[in-house]
Amino acid sequence: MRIPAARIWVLSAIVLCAVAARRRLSYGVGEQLQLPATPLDRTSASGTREWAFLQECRRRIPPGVSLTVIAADPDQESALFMLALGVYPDHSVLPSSYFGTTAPSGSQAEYVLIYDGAKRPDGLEIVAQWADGAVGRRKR
Amino acid sequence: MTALKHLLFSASLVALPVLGFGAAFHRSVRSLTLPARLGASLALGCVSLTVTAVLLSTVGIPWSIPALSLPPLVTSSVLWRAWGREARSATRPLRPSGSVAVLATAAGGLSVLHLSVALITAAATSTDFLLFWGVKAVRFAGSRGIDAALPKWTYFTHAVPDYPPLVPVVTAWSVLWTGEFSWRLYPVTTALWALAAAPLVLELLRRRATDDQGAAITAFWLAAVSISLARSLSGGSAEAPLLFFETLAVAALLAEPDRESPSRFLPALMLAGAVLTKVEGSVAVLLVAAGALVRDQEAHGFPTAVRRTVALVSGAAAALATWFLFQATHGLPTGFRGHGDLWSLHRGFLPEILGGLLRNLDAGTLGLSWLVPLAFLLVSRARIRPLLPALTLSAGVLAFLVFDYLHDDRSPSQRIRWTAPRVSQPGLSALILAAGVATSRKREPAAG
Repeated sequence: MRIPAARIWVLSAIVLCAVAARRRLSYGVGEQLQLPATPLDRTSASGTREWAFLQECRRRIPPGVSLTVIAADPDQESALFMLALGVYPDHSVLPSSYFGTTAPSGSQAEYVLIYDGAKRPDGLEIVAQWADGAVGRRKR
Repeated sequence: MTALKHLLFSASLVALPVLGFGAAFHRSVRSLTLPARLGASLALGCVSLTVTAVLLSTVGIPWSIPALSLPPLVTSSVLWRAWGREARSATRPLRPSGSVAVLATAAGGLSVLHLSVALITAAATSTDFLLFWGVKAVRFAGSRGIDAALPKWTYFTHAVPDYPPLVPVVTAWSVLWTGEFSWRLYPVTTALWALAAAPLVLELLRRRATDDQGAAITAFWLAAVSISLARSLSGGSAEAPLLFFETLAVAALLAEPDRESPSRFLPALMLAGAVLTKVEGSVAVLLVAAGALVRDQEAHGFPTAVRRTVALVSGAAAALATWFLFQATHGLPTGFRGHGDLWSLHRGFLPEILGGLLRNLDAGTLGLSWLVPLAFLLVSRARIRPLLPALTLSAGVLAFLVFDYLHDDRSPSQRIRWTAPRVSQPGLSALILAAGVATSRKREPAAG
C-alpha cells in the first residue's frame, strides 16, 4: 500500500513537539527558565533541600576529613548518605544508617552533618548552625 | 566552575570522537556525511576509552589523560592506515523537498531545544545520576582508576556495583580534564547523545528510503526520543548513551542490503558500546542478534547467517569479557546480579504490570510516539522478517520489563512508574526505525 509516508511522518513529528510544548508551557515560561540552584530543583522538593543542605555544609568542612550525616527520618538519612558520596568526593563519607539499619561506622566520623530536626549526638562541638541543620565536630 | 574549566569540559567532550577517529574511515562509514562519521567516531572513542580504562585498572596503572588517550589514538591511527587508503565514493548530497526539509528541521530543532531547556533547568535530572552514575565517576576520577574497594563496600550496594563501566568512565574522563565536577552542567550531555545519533540515523535510513522519507523519519525519531528523555528524567544517566548505541546498531542492520553481506563493523561496534553501558545492553545484544539471525537465514542460509551473527556479537563479547576480567581479578562477583531467582515469578501481579506498563508508555506525548509508528507498521503491511532486528528489540524490551517486574514480591506499581518510561526507550526507538523502513519506498539499497 502506497501512503504519503514522508509527509505524515514529519507532520506527526510536529504534533509530538506541540504536545510536549503544551505540557511544558502549562507550568509558566518565566518560572521554567530560571537557572536552578541544585540539580533537583524541578524534580524533588525534598531532594532540593537535602542537596542544598549538603552544599551548605561543604563550606564548613575541611577537605579530607571523615564525615557522616544524620537525619530524623531513616529514609532521608540513607538518601543523604548516598548523595554525600558524590558531593564529598575528597572525603571519607560514612553512613550512620543504611536502608534503615544502624551502621556502626558513622560513630567514627570526625564531622557530623545534622539535618533538620535530627537529635544531636553527645560529645559534639557545633561548628555552624542554620535553619536547615548544623555541622558538629566530635570532641576527641 | 570558571570559564577555563567550562572550556576544558567542552574540550573533554570534543576529545571523545577524536579518540575514535579511525571509525570514520571504515568502508561502511567513510562515504557518509561528516556529522554521521563523527557519530561513528564518538562510538569508537567511548568504547576504546572504556576498554582502556578498565584494562589500566585491571593491571593497576593509574588513569591520566595521556595514559587513557594513547591506546585509543594508536588504535584509531592503525585503522586509519589500514582503511584510509581505500577509495572513497562521493557523499550523496541530501536533497529533501522544501516543505519536508523545513518541517523536519523545525521538529528536530524544537525537540532538542525542549530537551536542552529541561536539562539546563534541572527539570529532567536523573536520580540515578545523583545516587550512583555521577558518584562512581567522581570517585573513580579521584582515585585515578576503578577502585575495587568501592564496589566491594557493604554500603555501596545501592550503586549497583556490577553495572558496566562506560558511563562512569566517560564522565570521569571529563573530571580528569576539569579537576572538578559540575552536577548541574553534566546532565546537559544527555542531549548530545541524541544529537550525535541523528545524522547517522538519517544516513543509514537513506539507504532504505528516499531523502524526504529519511529526513521525515529521522525528525520523528529525534522528536520522540528527545521528548521521552526529558519526560523520563534521564538527564545524566546511562539512558541516552544506551539509546545511542542500540539505535545505531539496529539502524545499521536495517540498512543492510537484502542479498549482499556487507561488513558488520558498525553494528558490532554499537553493540559493544551497549553492553558496556548498561546490563540491559546485554539483553539487547541477544534480542538484536536473534532477530538478525532469523532474518539473514532466509537470504543467506543458516551457516552464513550464523557466521554473520558471530561477527555481529564478537565486539560485545570482547568488551564484556574485559569488564568481567576486571571483576574476577579484583575479587568482585563476576557477571551481573540477577533480580531474585530467575523463575521465581509472582504471576498474580501480571494484570497490574501490564496495566502499569501501558500507562507509563506515555513518552511525554500522550503515547503518540508509540502509536504513530505502530499504526504505520500495521497500515504498511510490510513483511516482518526484514524488520526483525528492530522488532525483536522493541517487543523484547517490553517482554523483558514484564518478566523483570514479575519477580517483585510486592506491588510493582511504583517501580514501574520509576523505570518503565526510561527503560522502554530503546524499544520505542527500534519501533520507529522498523516502521520507518516498512513505509519507505526504496527497498533495495546499495551496499554500504
